[in-house]
Order: sequence, then structure tokens, then C-alpha cells
Amino acid sequence: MRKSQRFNILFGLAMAAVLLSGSAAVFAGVPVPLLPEPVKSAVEGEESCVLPEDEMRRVHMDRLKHQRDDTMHEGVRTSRFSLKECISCHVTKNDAGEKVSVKSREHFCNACHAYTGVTLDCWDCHASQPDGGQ
Amino acid sequence: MSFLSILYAILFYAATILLVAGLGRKIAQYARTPAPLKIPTMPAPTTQTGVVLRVATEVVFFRQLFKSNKWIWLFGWMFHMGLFLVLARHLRYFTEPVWAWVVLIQPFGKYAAFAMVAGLAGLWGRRILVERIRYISAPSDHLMLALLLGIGLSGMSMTFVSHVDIVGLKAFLLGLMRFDWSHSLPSDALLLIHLLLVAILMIIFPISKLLHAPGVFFSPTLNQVDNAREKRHLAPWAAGLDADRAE
Repeated sequence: MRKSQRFNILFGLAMAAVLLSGSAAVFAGVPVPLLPEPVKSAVEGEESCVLPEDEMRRVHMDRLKHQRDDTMHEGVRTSRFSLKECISCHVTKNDAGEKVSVKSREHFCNACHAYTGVTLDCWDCHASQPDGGQ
Repeated sequence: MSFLSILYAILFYAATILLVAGLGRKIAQYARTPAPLKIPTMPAPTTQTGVVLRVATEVVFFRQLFKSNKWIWLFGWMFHMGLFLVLARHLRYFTEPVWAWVVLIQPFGKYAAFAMVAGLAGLWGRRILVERIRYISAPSDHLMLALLLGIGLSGMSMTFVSHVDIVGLKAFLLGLMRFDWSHSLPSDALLLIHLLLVAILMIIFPISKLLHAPGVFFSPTLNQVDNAREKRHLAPWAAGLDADRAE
């Protein structure tokens, strides 16, 4: 066996060991955002969100912005894709039974946004709890 | 896990092993390659600290390219800095909780993508429009730019045109890192194209011209101290010959 070949094999084994041990250290289940169950049906007669979950995951931000533009520029006020509807249906309560604000990672909106590093300025003006707190 | 997720999981494990092992092997080879002569490009720093600063400015600002050709520097530097910010932004998919500085640079990374793609377009234009460069361009030169451009454009489309389920994506990626394969990869076409191109890039990286990334640190004209008179430059193999002659 040539010297360089032996080096390559040893090197490969060493790399494999490093990779395995590095990964084993973080072997502890996959963290995912925990979302609260909705408290009511948002659309009359339907037991689901305003759009199927798959779609909401992808386009909720576009829908919210579209609704904002309609409201602010056209004066058309609808409630289907309003921010207020999101937070009055998806409510998280903490261990003490109090509704949590968007400062908490348990909050419906913040759970995923913190998970993906998305920062929002919605809550600079709007309330993040249905009864107007925070 | 869906069939597609299994396919991508295997693809990314293989690509990661090939990238890490291939890159490690190349770096080891570069480190053992003899530099028999003292050949720093003059004027060169006369101390080791000076050399560290010189290599750093070269790596961060591409100083030599700036001195030789301003417009190529502009496109090249735009691309590389854009890529750096974009890659840093991607750390949000691999860390939980996301690091504070990664959250901070999210918007910058978003728009750096435009600089990155513009830089790539400029560099590709150079290969096609400058006759001298077109003549010496090999297929791999064009394909590498096409691959990077494909990655950039598919990635940008997911941010600016059609969103994908990034929460599902992160759960899948964290699962790969923790060997917990309970979360499927969201099957958006753009995402699948983007990830496939990235895996191809990872696989060919250690056998491509992109090795200039680790290679720049081993360039003797860049990393040598200008101290030929103070200290004799002696390569290990030459030292053996010297010892023989002295006897």
C-alpha cells in the first residue's frame, strides 16, 4: 500500500469519527414550534382556518399585507385575513392560565417567527392579545 | 418520511461527507506541497503579523484584483460579499434557537442576494463578451457560473416570488442533523430545485475551481514573509541535500 493511500484511508476514518461524534452530541429530538389549537371557527360553518393549513404556512404574510393595502388605500374593511382574527382564534395560555403576549415564544405568531428568525413590526402598533393587552 | 424526503436525506448526507472529506483531503495536500523558493510578491510585509494582515485584506477586499482590474473586481467582490451575507442568513435553518446576530442580519442577507446575482451575471458577461476571456473559457467555467446563478435565482424566487414552508424545511434539516427522521421535506418545486443544485455544488466543490477558497491561503506569493536576508529559506527536502553536502 502506498503511503498516500494509507494516509487517505486514515484521514477518511478520522473525518467519519469527527462527523459522528459531533452529531451524537446534539442527538436530542427535533425542536419544532408548538402551536395552540384555534378556539373557534373563523369562517361561519367551517371548522378550519381561513385557508387550508398548507396554504396558510406559505401565503399568510401575502394575504395579511394584501388586506392591509385594501384597508388603508381603498378603505375596504374585511375580516377574513385580518390580523385581529388570527390572534382572537389562535390564543395561547401559559401555565397560570393567562393569555401570553407576542413577547413569549409560546405566542402563536412568535412561535414560528422566532423559529425562523423572522422579525415583525406588526406589534409595534397592533395588540397581540384578543383583549387588547400588549 | 415521504419517498422524496428519504431521497433528499441520502443526497445531503452523501454530499456533506464528500464535501467535508474532499475539502479536508485537498487542504492536507495543499499544506504538504513544498514551497521551495522565497517568492512573495514585492513589496511584501517583513513580519509574520504583516503577512496575516496582507492575507486578510486579500481575502476580504481582493486587493490584488482591485489593483489590476476595477470592473472585474466590482463584479467579483459583489458576488462574494453577497454570497457571504446570504450564507450567514441561512444559518437560521441550522440553529435552534437562532443566534441573535443571525436574526439581525436577516434583512441584509435578503437584499444581498441581488448583489450576488448581479455579480454573477457580470462575471458571466465577462466570459461571453470579452473575446480574450471567451477564448480561454472552458465548459466548466460556464457551468459553474450557471450552477451558482441557478442556486441564487431559485433561492431568491422563494423569498420574493413564491414562498415555501420554511418551518417544515427547518424541522427536516434539524432532523437530518440530529439523526431523527420524523419530519418530511416540504415538496415545493422551487425548494427541491434549490436543494438539488446546492447538493450538486457541495459534491463538485472539492474537485472544482472553487477550491480557490482554501487555496488562497496557501499561495506562496501571498503568504511568505519578506525576510530572505535575515533568515535563510530552506525547504525540508532541500535541508536534506544541504546536510549531505556538509559532510
